[in-house]
Parts: sequence; C-alpha cells; structure tokens
Amino acid sequence: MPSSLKLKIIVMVILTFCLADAGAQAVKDTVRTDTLKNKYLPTGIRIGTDAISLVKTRVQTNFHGWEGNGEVDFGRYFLALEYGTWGRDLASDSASYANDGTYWRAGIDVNFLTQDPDRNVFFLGARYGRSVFSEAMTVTSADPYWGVLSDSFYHSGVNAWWLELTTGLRVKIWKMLWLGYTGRFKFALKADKTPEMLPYDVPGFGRTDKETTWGFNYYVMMRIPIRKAPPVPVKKKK
Amino acid sequence: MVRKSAWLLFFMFTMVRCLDEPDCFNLNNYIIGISFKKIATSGADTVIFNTIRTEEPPIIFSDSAAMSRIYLPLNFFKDETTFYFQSGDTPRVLHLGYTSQAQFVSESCGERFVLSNLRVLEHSFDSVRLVRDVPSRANETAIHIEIFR
Repeated sequence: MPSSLKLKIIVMVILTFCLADAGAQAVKDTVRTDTLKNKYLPTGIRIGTDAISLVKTRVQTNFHGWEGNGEVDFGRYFLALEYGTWGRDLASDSASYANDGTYWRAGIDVNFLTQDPDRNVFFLGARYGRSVFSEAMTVTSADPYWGVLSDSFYHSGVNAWWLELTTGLRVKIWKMLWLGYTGRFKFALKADKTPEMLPYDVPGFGRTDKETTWGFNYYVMMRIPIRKAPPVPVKKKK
Repeated sequence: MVRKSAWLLFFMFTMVRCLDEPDCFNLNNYIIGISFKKIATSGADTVIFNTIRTEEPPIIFSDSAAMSRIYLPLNFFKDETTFYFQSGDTPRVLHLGYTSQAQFVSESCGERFVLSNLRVLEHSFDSVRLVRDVPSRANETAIHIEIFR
C-alpha cells in the first residue's frame, strides 16, 4: 500500500475519532439528565432501498442492480447492513465485458445529531464489504507486432472484500418515511487470484483500476418502531 | 455547523465521482529490454545479429544491425515467447515465460494486458541474467534481461 494512501486513511480515521470524541463530549453534559434505563435498547428498524441503483437500472442500458439496507439503533450507534446485486455489460471497439454478482456490507455508524427533536441522523461510520461475482470478457486486439489476436476469458465465483469509511444523513420526511444518503470512501480491496483476467468492476465496490474509490447511495427508507424512544436530551443553556 | 458539514461532504463525494476517467495510452506492459554484455568485464557488448525473430507467428524484429541493447515485444495472448537470434551460422534461442492477465479498462480505452512473473525458461547463450520480472510499457527503456557472451 503506497504511503500517500496510508496517510489519507490515517488522517480520515483520526478525523473520525476526533469528531466522535467531540460529539461524545457534547453529549456528556446531557447524559446526567437522561435518567432512563435501557438507553441502548433498539427503538426501531429502518429499512430501505437505494434509489440511485433503481434509476440507473431503468436509465442505463449497461447496468442492472438494486440495493437494500437496514439499520438498527443502539443509542447513538447504528448497526448497518446492506445487501445488493449489480451487473454491468460494457463494450469498446476491441473488447466486450460483463459481470454479475451479489454483495453485502456490515458496519457501525455513530450519530452526531443526538439532540435533534425529529431524531434525524448525521453519521460517520465504517463498513466491511464482501462480494461474490462472475465476469467474462472477449477481446479482439490489433497489435502492431503480433497482428490481430482474439480470445475469451471467464471467471466465476470470484470473492472480493474491502473496507469503507462512511458518512451521511437520515432525515424524517413524514411519519414512517425517511430519506437519506451515504457517501463512501472505499479502500483495501482484496480479491481471489484470477489467473487469466484481472477484475475490472467488483459489485458493491466499483472499478478496480485505482486503490481507492468513492461511492454514493441515496436511500428511501421506512422506519418501523419497536418500542417508545426515550426523550431527546435537552441542551443545556450556557 | 453539522448541517453545513453534511452538505459539504455530499458535494465533495459527487464531485470526486466525476473526476475518474483512466488514460488510454500504452496500456499493455509487454516490452522487454535486453542488453548485451561481455562475460569477462560485464561491460556493454556490441553485437550484430542477421535476424531476431519468432516462429509462431513468424515475425522478424531486427535485420543485420549492430546493437548493444534491444527492446522486444512479448506475445500477450500466450504465456511464453521464444526469440531466435541468428548470428552468422550460430542460432541462439531465448525462451521466456510470464503471466499474462487481461483486464477491461473502459468503454473508450478497451482492454489491457498486464504481464508479470517474467522468467527465462531456456536459452543457448553463455549466460543470461534476469534483472526485472515485470515487463515495461512501450515508451519505457528499462532493461529486464542481460545476455553475456
């Protein structure tokens, strides 16, 4: 891993923890007023789907996929799970490429809007992602030395895994309806060894030609309450 | 403050996603540099070969030229390439093995071949030394193999 990438990751991790610490400090003042027990028991489950994947599937001819997500709150912490499928059909003048596979991600988000009366969420978090996919490519290459050559390549059951730092918003729109986005900084991709062909696009991660990549999801969600939420801590006036 | 940060991060992610297209120039790393050296002194040696060629497919890369180094392409659709060096009546063989992996790059660039694990499988020179095991792209001048005579 190059040193510039390591530095970027270290800075982002430090930033995440600094913000988490600052948030915790802010909450510390109000914890004294929170006398309710079972503070870390879940109050609801939020489930949703990624609107960008659905729109891309309808609009783009070379992409198909969907993603669902679920979140459970444990105080200001959220357990997040995401599952999806994704496939691409791409063609250039000399090659055609197709992949198809499923992926899941799991991780924790930390909420920094702890005193919001609507319980909207602004979070920083982390994910571990995993994908199983197949891919195929046909090449007809015209080389100045070797002339015109053509071949086909195929791999199935390829495993890949990676890490993500995430941030985003969840906003209550109306009753049980919520909207939100998640931005992702993806890194540390590892994949099975594929003898004939290097992966181009890993479902859930994206293109593999750079060591890091970015992702973005826009979720439409529904929150199902499972118990009455404790009252929001009142902010102390200075 | 938190809302401003949220918006800032949103636009930052959107912007970075758009600045992400690869270059299409010289994508295949299939060129090897060979330098010729004197076995006694390890200094540069100037050699004249009548031809440097392959058999499958039959391609002639050089024709009666004096040289102390040459750059030759590996066949990236195979995992082996054999070069025949003809000097006078003496034929010399350099049989190379490597790993070639195809990868799609983009709809505008097409594909590339990534070669690695270069090794000398067989040769009929006095001595051959592998210096680098990852072949270069077309515009690079690295030496991968030294041939001593």
